[in-house]
Amino acid sequence: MLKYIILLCCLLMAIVPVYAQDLADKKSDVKIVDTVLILKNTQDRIVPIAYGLQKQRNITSSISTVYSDKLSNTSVMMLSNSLFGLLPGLVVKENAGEVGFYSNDLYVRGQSTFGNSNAPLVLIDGFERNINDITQDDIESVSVLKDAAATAMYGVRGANGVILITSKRGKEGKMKILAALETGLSTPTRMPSFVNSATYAQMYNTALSNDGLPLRYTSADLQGYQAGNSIYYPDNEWEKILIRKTSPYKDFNVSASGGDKNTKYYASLGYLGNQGIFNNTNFNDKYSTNSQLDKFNFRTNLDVKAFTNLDIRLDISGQVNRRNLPRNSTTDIVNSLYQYPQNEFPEFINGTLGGTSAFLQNPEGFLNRSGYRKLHDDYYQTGLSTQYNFQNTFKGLVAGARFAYDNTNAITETYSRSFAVSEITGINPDQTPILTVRGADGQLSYTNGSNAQARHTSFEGFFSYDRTFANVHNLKTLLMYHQDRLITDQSSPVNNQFYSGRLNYAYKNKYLAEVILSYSGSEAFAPNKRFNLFPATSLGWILTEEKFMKKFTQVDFLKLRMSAGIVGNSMVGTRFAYREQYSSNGSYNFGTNIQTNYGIAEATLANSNMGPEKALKLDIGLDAILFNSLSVNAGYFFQRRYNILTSLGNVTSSVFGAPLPSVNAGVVNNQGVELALNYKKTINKSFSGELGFNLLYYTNKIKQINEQPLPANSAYQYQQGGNLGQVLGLKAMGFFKDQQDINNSPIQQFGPVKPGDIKYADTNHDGVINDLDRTYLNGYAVPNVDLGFTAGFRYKSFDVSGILNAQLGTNIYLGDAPSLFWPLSNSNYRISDYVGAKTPWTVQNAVTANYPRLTTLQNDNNYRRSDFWTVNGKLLRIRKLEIGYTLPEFLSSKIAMSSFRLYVRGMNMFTFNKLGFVDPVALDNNPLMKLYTLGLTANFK
Amino acid sequence: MKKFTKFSLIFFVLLSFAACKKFLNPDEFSIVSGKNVYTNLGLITNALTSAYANLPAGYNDIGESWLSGAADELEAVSPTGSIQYFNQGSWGSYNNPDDQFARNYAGIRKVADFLHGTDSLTWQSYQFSDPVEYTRRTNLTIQYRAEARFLRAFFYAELIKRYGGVPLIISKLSIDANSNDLVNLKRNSFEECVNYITSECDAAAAGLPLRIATTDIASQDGRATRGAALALKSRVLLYAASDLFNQPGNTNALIGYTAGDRQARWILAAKASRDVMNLNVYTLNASYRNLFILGAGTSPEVIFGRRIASSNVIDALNYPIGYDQGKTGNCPVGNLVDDYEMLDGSVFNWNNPTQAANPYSGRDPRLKASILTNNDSWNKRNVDISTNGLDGLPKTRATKTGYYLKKFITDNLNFTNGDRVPHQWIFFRYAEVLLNYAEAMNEAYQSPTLKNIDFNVSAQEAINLVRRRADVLMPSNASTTYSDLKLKLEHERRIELAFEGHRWWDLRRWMKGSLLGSTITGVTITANTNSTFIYQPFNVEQRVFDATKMYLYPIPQSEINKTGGTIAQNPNWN
Repeated sequence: MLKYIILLCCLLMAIVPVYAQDLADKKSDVKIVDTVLILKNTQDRIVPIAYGLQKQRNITSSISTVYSDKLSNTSVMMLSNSLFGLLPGLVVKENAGEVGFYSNDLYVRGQSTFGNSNAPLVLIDGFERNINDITQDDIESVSVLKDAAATAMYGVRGANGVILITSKRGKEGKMKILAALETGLSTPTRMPSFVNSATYAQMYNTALSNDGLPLRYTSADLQGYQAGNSIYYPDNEWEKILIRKTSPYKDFNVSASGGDKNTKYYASLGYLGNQGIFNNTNFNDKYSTNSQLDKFNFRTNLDVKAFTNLDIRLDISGQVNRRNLPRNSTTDIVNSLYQYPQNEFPEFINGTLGGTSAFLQNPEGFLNRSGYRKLHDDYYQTGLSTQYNFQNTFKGLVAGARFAYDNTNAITETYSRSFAVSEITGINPDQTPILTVRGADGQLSYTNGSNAQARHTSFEGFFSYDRTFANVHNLKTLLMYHQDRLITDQSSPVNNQFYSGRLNYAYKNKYLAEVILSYSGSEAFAPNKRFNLFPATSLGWILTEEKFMKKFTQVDFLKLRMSAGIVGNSMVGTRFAYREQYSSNGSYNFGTNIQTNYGIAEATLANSNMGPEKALKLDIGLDAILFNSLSVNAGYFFQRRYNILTSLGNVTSSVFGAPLPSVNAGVVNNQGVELALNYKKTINKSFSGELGFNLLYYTNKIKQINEQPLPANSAYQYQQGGNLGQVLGLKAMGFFKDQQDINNSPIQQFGPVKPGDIKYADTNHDGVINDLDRTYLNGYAVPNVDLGFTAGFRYKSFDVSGILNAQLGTNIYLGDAPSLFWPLSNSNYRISDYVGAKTPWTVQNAVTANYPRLTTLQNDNNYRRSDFWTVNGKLLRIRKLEIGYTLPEFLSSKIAMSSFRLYVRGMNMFTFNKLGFVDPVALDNNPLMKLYTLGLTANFK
Repeated sequence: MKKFTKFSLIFFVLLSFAACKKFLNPDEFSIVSGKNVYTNLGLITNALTSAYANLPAGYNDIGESWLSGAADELEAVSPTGSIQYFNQGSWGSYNNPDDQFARNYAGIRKVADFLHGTDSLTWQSYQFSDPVEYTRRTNLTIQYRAEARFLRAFFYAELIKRYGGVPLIISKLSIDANSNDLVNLKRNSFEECVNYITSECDAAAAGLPLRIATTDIASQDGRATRGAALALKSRVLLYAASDLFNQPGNTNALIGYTAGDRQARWILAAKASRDVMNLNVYTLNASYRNLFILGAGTSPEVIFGRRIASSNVIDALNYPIGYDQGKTGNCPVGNLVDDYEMLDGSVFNWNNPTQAANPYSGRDPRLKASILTNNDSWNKRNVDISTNGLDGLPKTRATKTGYYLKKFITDNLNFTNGDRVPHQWIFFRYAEVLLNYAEAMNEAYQSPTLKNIDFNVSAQEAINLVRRRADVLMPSNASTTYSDLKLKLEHERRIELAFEGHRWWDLRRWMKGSLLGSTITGVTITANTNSTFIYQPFNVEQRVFDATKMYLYPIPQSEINKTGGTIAQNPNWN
């Protein structure tokens, strides 16, 4: 399929240009619209800031923004997947997941707390909303607010940074219709593979002989497996049987925008569909057990001038998601593919599923004969804002109110059934198998459903006063009140409230200063700690406005800026932790009617002084434009996160007996640098290009944490002084050569060792190897180096663009996926090709071995965290590669279009990292997908 | 005017919201405070239930097994279950599959909180308005408080048999910065702990009913009774008088007695058991097999047990591998099977060709009641444990020893149909008390037959009550010497109490390290063509036991670290 699409594209590209060239020759006045902006003008761009807009050149805080031109040129199901490498300072940590659920974790300048949450606050059109609750094509811009000055308006919610998403709005003018159609195929980036049954049986025997146990497979068995898959010698490559090579993907979007002086509109409709990875899902008559996402979305953004001075905005948007999923979780299914024995029973025997009494969950049945689920989740967002401009009575004063009402609901239907398997319990004289049926085929029945609802209501009121005095004093002020309430069926409503103000002053557009104050509260805290004051300030100096800079003609623009302030984090985990609480705890049965009696007991004890996390942030930066083609943004930042909750349980003996609270005592420092370079050049009418590069590098350090006291000779295990996400592991020193070697080495206390087991270093020199010998394996939980590289070129009607993202600083722990890397351990009955390609230790190849001896027993000595199982997690992905062709305008106009573009695009096409065997973000989970698409966009006149 | 209206509208809205200061005051009713709990009888009952929940789970306490899987009774079929840490000797202060330290202190805390909360409870408001209800509530509170004290004694008993002396925490500790509750926390001596537990048992017994009222059996059976408190005392004193805690020359008061009269300890133990016998509440269940598949029923033998709601988890886990959803779970070991006597009371011997050819016939009936041996009838067919048989190796998860567990397991369940039955895990039963008594008497007076003014039953009479259960009827013990009866009593406990979690502790208190580190055996079964079988014993596993330290558990290292070492470690653990 893919081949044909590529072929078709190639053909198109070969033919159309020739045809176009022909036409062009005939018509000499070819106009190619130059979309590349002159860089200097970008400083006049109005960009979104906290509760307002500001001219780019006057911004003195740290904000990065990406616009629709970059965002809409990616094919993703959820917005967070299109942000890789585009926003300096934003680390996107990728998670694999089932179709439509790839939700990534975002970190502004990395991790800064070991507390409950590092997640930034996300606002869509000014209101707190889920980042994935907006469709890519409707987005005008995404900004990330990083320093204290940028986020202080959000007070107690600003410490983790803020992401502002702005949707597209109509502009005055004739109606523009934009249609985008895209279709493609997704396929796993990498799929793990496993050794065949013949190799498996051989390796299993080796493992048994290593354990000193009798062999399980006779040479006749081995020969049987050698001959290939058969009823008596099965070889079920589950991952090949049940996972598809490719799954279709579709995305359609239509939008219309325009308006006149008094009314402007933007409206859109969209559909996105993607099927899941599973195979053979059409076994059932009336339903599918594959996962499938169908997403429909709509949006209407209206701007109305009701009276001369009254502006009203009404935004309504929604999304309807329909998902089909197998009855069992896709993670469990994928796990079963990687774990379930491949030679214990045939997939099918005479048309019935195979299995044994110990292995009833034949993966084929587990996936396809266990029923299915349907998920319906919808959300609707409404925003209404009014603002009144007192231009006639009080020049510069604006008063306004904003209101949002969002509603989400999710309904799940679950249909299940059981399935029977047949076990071969003997062989008839005619060599046919004697079968015993295990379990029973059940009827598909509705088992349960769930219904979850949430409504989020926000209200804001503000006064702003913007005025320029005497042509040199430019004043911008904002005073506002905010409250919002989130009601879910899970818990009592969650409320936030704050009062914030900002004063922004510019002198001669040269010297800039800003003060922000927020008095903000969260009910999470003790009454005396509920409201906190968060101040911030920033300063800027536009040097290019100074006379002495005029002689540096290469420097088109240069600004120095710095900021300092304190912001907070109210997402500290348990709510109402300042109160004494009793909660349900255990149960016990009494009586001959065996009544379950439920217990109640002290929950985590109260911390009556519970307050928010706070962050002191400093930021110094420089924004410049050189040679009218290169923009430079560089900066240094420092953050001291303090009052982080840290548990008393770590320092209190469990003799105490009750769960102990956390106290505001933790401190983490985080500092680093950011750099963004953007180069744009139009060489001539037919060739232009741009290159972008951005970098984030940071380090963090735990300065204070409650942790268990350690023996003096193991003080290196203290978390304090280390970075966030560091993990303890042993240092492997190869394998034990022989019994002599074991006898001469310190005793390893994790279990009996044999030659071929991993030998560890005695870090604290106490003569025994135990957990105290673990040291920190350097590495961050979240990449601490994030690089983005973007490129785009246009030659005549062709354009090529790409995005590359590299992340460094993390480790991959192979023990996270025992089914792939620790064969035959706890319910892992397969051996992956990763292990198959290694040389496991045996007496014969003791020297060349690069993997410990195989074993069928619990081997806690080998299978535990050490540097042996740690692989550097540095990762480079080509996030996007795209080739496009735009029909010359004189041609497109013939079919009533102002532009028409065709493209082929590949998302996540190439991945480079040290662990080549499997995608590092997926391991034993749902595979990460790459996507090839063919699309077109058309602007209608 | 229009403008003014709009302006004032906005202004008014702003002001009204700005004034709404109570916006952040959370819903006060969703959180239950201590005051809410300890003024409401229903919640008070729940608070006590929560302490009950900290009693041991019994079955599947350690992964898919329990402590019998680490004694010479059972071998878990899974090579990777955490119970195997014991069998490999790879456990310690950082990694203990049966680390019950925190669990029991959590229970102790619940009791302390309960006693604290109910301490000044008077139900005064009912005194005149509803005197009947007042009496009911007052009596129930007294009973509940006694139950709570019993539970605390139980938790401490769980601790000291594992760790030796532990810190005695009696009141509800405070984390207040000004409190000294956690400063310089130390372990109390073993002797102090034993004394505390026994005095608490006495105090609890005084407040506990002799039996659950007949009308309450349906809803309340399983609550602690006087017998439970006294049986606990009987066991604790028996353990305390045993070798492990009375090592000659011991100077470490944390791990046992350092001085004193050992005979007096045995006499105390015997008296405690006699007190249970003298309650005249308990008798042996007529059927040995049925005692362990009581389901929802009751038995005059059960003193205290945990009821488990209808489930087939335990059954399916331990059904032979050849049955639908059977997972083998725990395999009885050959060492135990071989120890069941012949019907005439003689010892079974593999070297006797007649016995070896037909190893499971003519044996103590408790063998067939507890263990599924080859060719026994089970669930509508005979089990076939022979090599390549339906239930035999080399099937994955087939029994490693040639035996399947039968005690506790209900026959004829169809798991595919979802059959399930209630279960009970018996903490104390009368047969144990009789054996406790026999052992304490034999040790105290070094005589199988002695009776005196305090004790009108001899050690031998007590053991024979057990041996002569209606459907067991093994020949009466006829030991004439103390040392012979001592061996017979050790044997009797092994057989009578098999798989009930006693052996692990008995071997420790008797200091039988060689048995804790024994070679586990099984039987290889070969089917002949004429439906007969050949049985061949073989070694399954060498258990590892380090007698220099493993009789007691190590204190979890984290506790030592957190207290800066004021809580001391047991000898030779690090």
